[in-house]
Amino acid sequence: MHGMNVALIFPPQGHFTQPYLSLPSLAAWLRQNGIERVEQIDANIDAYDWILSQERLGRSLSKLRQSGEFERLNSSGGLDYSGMERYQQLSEIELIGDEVVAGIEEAKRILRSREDFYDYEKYLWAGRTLEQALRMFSAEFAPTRLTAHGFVMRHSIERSAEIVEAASNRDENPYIEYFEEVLLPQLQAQDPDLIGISVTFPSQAIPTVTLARLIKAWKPSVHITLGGGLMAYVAEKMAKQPAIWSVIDSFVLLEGERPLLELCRVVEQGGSLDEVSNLIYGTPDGVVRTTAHKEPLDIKTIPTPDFDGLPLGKYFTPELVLPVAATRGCYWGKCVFCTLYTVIGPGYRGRTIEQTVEDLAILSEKYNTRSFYLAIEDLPPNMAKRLPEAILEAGLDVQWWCDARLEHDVFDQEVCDNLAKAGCKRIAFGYESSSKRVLDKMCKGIDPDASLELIQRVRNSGISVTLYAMVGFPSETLEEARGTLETILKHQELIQEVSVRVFYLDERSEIFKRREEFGIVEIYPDEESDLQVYYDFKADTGMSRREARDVYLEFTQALRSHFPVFQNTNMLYHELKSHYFLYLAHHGSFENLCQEVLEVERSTSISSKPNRPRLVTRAINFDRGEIDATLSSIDSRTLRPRYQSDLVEDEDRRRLDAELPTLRPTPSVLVYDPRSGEVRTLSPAAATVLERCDGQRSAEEIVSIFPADAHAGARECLNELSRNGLLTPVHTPVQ
Amino acid sequence: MSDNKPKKDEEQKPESASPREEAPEPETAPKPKYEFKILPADPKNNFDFEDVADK
Repeated sequence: MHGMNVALIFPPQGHFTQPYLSLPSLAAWLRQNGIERVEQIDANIDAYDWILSQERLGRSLSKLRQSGEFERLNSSGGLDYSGMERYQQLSEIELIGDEVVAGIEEAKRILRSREDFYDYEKYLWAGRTLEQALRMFSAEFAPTRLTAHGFVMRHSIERSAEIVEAASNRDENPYIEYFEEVLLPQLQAQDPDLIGISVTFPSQAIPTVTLARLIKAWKPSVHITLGGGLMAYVAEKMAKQPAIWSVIDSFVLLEGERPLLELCRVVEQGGSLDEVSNLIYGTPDGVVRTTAHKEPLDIKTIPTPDFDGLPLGKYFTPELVLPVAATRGCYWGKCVFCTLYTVIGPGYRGRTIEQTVEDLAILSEKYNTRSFYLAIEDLPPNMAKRLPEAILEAGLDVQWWCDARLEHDVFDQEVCDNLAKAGCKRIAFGYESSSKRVLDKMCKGIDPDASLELIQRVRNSGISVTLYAMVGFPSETLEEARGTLETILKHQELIQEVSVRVFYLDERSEIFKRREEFGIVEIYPDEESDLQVYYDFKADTGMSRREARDVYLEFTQALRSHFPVFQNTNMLYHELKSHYFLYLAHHGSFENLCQEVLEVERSTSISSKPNRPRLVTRAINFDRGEIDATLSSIDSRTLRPRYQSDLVEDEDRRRLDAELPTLRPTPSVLVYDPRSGEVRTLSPAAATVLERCDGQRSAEEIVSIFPADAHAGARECLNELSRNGLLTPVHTPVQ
Repeated sequence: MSDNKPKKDEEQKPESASPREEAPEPETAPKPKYEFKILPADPKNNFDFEDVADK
């Protein structure tokens, strides 16, 4: 099959700190089986890199300025909810647009620099600049929102008709332009016979259909197949929609190696698609066929992933962090809320310890990196015990992290110490709840007290602990959920990160199938959502869905105020996966990371003649503080929950526009600090104090223009400015 | 402090508080209340844990 020409694409939007494993696994398998022309395209990182460029952001800024929209809002007599939302976006752009455009290339350079990435001041500036840039880009396509973590449009991804509509919505879908300008010409140059698109995250759904539509318009004869985790979920539902068959040719279900190779053969040599296993395809006469199911490959027979051809220098990290899968599936496989088996497998399979060590050695050598993410559901007991020794025996200098089950009998102190010695820096455990009753209902098979002892041992060895927690499992009471939070806070010194989420009722899960047993008395399908997989529900005991959402918000608030990685300006967790891991590894331990980075106090001494650094300011006609407070008070408590999106539904928007009191003009001043990238809103009086901090006046002279009864407030304002880093730090003793 | 607007020469104008608060008040008028507020204006603080956890 030497003539076969295949393009494998990972579409936007996924995370930008490391490559995803699907393409390198498939590429390695196809190449091993004689298909020489396999191009891997990470359109996600390519798109982020293209969007976050001086040239493209400059275009966004020009368009937004030319529209005159900010001036219109700023000179209006009042803002309704929608006006406030837009004003929040545009006032920031008005203030910092030029700085962001000028700084974006430097921000990317810092995130990719081995020297500057670990300078935390520079890192924070770079991270903020990226986020501000994404907000500016998103504003051009409002209400669409692209962030470091997600991509949402007002079109629901649970409705195929809306996905198709979004795919051609040029005003709101930013990827049309990216695909037309960049990716399509790239594909035209390659001219593939078969294009495989790997769709893992819901945020990739709209970009995938957008891309497929453009490809088909260019070359109708190319075979486009969609695979990946999300397709394993929704392909059967999508296949029922005739519109989808005009832009794609087939869906690969579950693991892609075997079907994709079979598909290559059929596309090259002709023949029936019925010869391809695990495939859904549409026939020309409108019939949809599902081919025979075959078991997935024994992963001991597949090669080491091959990252050749991916743009490895583009990821926003100073060194490559590569994913490696030592296992597929979950060896436990009993948790009733889990749907992993619908996406991977079926069945649990592992590579040998020797193969895993060899994978690490090959990748480390070939790509000059020592950082790895073991992309597995849970570290199996044999591997927890034997992998460290094998890594050390092979003389591998690697650092890595993974997920694991709270196996009380496996993680003794010796195992934990050995894992740490072999480069394990972080383990994420499925803790879920501190209630034995709830854990038993979930079929987690763990004891919460023994889990805490296990976590203590992991911490003793210096490995960072991440816990997954869940609230709102059917029958869970408010007290039980709060008990989980209290336990986590009480043992905070053992836990570095917590990832909390609300329980969703997923139609592929065991609990959905046996929902009566779990006291679920009603579910609420949305008839218009043909791709719906999550259901709102009512249980006969425990918290309501609303209460679960409330306790989730309590949870996240407590995490923000108690855990160093979530506090203040810290962005490591926020920036996802690899960044926290790399900082952790760089500083040697979590304790060092806290001491040297996360908990460093800013100097707040005030000079006898306070001085401000170079700042960018903009007086505006509305109080941004008030707008921010109003918008952030409208959270999921007051809105209908929308799957995978925090965008406000049109109906809620109309209600909020009508019900919220119109905000009247009250001036405020926005201040941007180009050193930190931070933006603040100052009241006019505070801005006056800041403006008078010119290095010439004493504190008393600064406050003297205010009436005597405001002097105390103005002096405190000086302290507050200093605490906010808006005054030049004092290096010499006050005279 | 730079600004997008033409810069005022603050040394040449009489020292006064911000425009909203600078007008001399008639003796009968209530005293202006000076608010010295400094707030972060960074929507990143609103990131959703679930959104981050999904990837």
